[in-house]
Amino acid sequence: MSARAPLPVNVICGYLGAGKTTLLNRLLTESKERIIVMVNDFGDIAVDAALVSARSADTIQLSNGCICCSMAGGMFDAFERALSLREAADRLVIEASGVAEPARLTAFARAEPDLDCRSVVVVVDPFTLGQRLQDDRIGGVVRRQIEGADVAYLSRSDRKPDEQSRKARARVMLTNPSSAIHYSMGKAFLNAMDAPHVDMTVSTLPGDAHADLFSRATVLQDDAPEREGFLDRLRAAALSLHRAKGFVRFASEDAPSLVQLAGGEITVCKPPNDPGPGPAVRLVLIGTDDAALRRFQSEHVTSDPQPARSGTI
Amino acid sequence: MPTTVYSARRIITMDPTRPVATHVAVSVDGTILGVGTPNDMSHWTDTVRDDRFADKVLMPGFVEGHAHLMEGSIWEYTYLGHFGRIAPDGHHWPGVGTTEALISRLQECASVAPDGPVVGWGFDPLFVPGERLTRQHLDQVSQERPVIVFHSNMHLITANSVAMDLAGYGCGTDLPGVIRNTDGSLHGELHEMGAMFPVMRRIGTSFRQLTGGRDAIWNFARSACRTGVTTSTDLLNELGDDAVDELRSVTGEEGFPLRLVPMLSAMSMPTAQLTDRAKVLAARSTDRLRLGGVKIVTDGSIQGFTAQMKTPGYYRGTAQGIWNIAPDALRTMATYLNRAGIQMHIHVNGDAASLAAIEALEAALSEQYLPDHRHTLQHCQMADQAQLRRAAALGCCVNFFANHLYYFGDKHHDITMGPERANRMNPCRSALDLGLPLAIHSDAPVTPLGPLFTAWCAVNRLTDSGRRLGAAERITLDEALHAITLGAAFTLKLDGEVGSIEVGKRADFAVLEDDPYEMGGEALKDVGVWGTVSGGRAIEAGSF
Repeated sequence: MSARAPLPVNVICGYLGAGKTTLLNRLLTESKERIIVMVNDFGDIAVDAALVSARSADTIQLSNGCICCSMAGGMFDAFERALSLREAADRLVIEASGVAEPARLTAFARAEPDLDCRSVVVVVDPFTLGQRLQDDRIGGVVRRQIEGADVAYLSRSDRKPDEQSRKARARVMLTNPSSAIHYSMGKAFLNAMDAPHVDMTVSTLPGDAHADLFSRATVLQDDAPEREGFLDRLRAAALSLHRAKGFVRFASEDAPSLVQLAGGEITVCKPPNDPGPGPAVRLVLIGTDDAALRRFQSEHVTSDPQPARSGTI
Repeated sequence: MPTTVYSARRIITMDPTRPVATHVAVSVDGTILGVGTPNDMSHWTDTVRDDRFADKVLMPGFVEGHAHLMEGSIWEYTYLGHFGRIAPDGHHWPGVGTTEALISRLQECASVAPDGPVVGWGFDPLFVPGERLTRQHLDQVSQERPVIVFHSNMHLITANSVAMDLAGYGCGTDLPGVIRNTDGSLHGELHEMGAMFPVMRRIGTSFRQLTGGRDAIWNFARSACRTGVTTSTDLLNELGDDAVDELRSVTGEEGFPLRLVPMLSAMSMPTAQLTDRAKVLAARSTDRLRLGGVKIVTDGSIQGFTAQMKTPGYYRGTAQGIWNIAPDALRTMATYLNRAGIQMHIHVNGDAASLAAIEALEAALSEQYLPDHRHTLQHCQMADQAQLRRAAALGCCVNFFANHLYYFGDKHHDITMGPERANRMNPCRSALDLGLPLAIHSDAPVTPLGPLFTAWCAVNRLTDSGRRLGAAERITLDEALHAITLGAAFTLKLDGEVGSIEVGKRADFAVLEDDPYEMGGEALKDVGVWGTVSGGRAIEAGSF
């Protein structure tokens, strides 16, 4: 509907108190861009809109858009408003509510041709992550926020990473091995935010026999695999995989590659940003054939004592 | 100025000190002056006798404690649901049973309006046999104009090829929510708001249009009159200044026959601003517009698998429970609002959500005792006995979604909840036995507005297929009629003004063709409604 280039969008998610607003304010201070901020309050404890720096081009308050429970058109209005401000802005940054599922927000940015979905950032508080993940009321949301992110930002870790942040990093990597993990808001982080969002969701008709059967599996391996052998194994599994994404540092190569599988095609390229230190293989797989996922997993020795999770998504 | 004395075949007052009468005297400003026999009316000299209801039965005007103004606006689109349904203008739209019938109804509607998008609503593919509705089916309606069909849950649409083209969706599109066939071509279904947005904004439909406007408010009042409702909530409204001005103006129009009770959405602003806003709104109330209450939405819906369920979760299907507010934040919000003395209506469908709300209210009321708070658990469909006991101990009200038993009961039994928990849904008997103030509701437009039908659901607990869910949770006819009058009025703190026919209260009546007690609980849904008396004025359904 506009002749202009689509508006780049970042979603910042993370549970209550993780440090989303702090990150957003630093971004507004340090970025040279004109940024529209969409704040998704939903009655969070912090008055987010008021905390957001006055430097943003405009601030839009976003309220819930679930028609079955709210009958409100908040999300539609908010995105319309952001699009109407296209001329005055270089970027839209959405600070999602503490319980927002990032996939619901990125769906807008991915589907709308006038928007350009860039990295989803999950802000993680290393000190509370373990407890949050185990909370049976909100553990699922916290897990899906990490699963849906391209970049994980561990807040309160700017100083020397301690035991807590090391544990948190391991948890994040186990949940989403394909996310790039950052501890500080340096140049590398800003570059990572500008990379395109890679989506792992799968669309099926309700009642489709496959709909309930999608499983997600994590593969972590310390030893660098041989390039050809690894890609052969992935190709062999490709028929039963819907998507795969992650970083692989192949044997005798210095830098990790970004490996993706979508629509049956495998692509291997230089990652748009530094994924940070981690095991040589960090891959997440989604597919309908649980046995095939497990077979692929078992072919890759994971160094983590916890079994890689596999279950319905 | 004369006092009007209405006579009726029978007046069911809901006043325990005089349960039945034949005459009611009403002042010119719409206040009830007397209730009783002809002799009891002799006190007033300057009277006008009005016998138009001599063969009808009067009840207190029904109170719908959970509905939405969208019931008045959605009829802008063409109805395509499985169940027959009556529009505000009185037109009866039969249910759509086949894809062919759906196509031909949309073709008719397309032929009436010469151009622009063709939009349907209320469609539920589970009730239509054969192949699921596709893009190609809707191409048969038009290959030049966009055609979209909202599914009944409003989270899905099916669109034709023109509509898909507008959004730039085509073969090879690989986006979340954009459904494809196995060959990669577009199926036609779009799931969730993100995928629907590019289509809807390009054909000029938005959910915002469906929440207000003069026509919608009047249409809602038309449906209310048709079903005997004289007081209804609009149970989620962002209530900006413009919306409030419009509501005050329209409800204040001559002859507007409804008391409307909109609730401020707690998600519309930061918690710290909510209390002030609720108080500002309360001060803007009028006789027909009652403001000041707050609505909080916690989880989603059971049929959409987005309700938050405790272990063991859903019976079949994949749980996609959502929180619209984190349990921790709910606790803080409830504490703020309770401290400010503001009444809360909290949407809770699944039992994990009702538990979170009960815990939040426990924390709030421990911090500050608020006498007669009437905080209300809305829907509260899956709460178990232990939760109901805690809610009763807190002095909460419950407003159960009794219509679910009929419209979704079979699905809950077979798919979402399984037999045991489907039987315990919306447990009206248990609530009353525990002393919980009880209301029951339609959540229109999710199910049709109609308190007598809602009461029938609570009395009979029959599903669409005729299965009885949880016979032990049935309530009596008396109790059900109480729930749709005084019971619902109590949850809105309006029981001192409406909900029963008593001296000093507002002359708001439901005018019935039949006597519910002669018809009996099993036939309650078949009781005819002539119209209403609102503030003393008789208004026949369909007359405006």
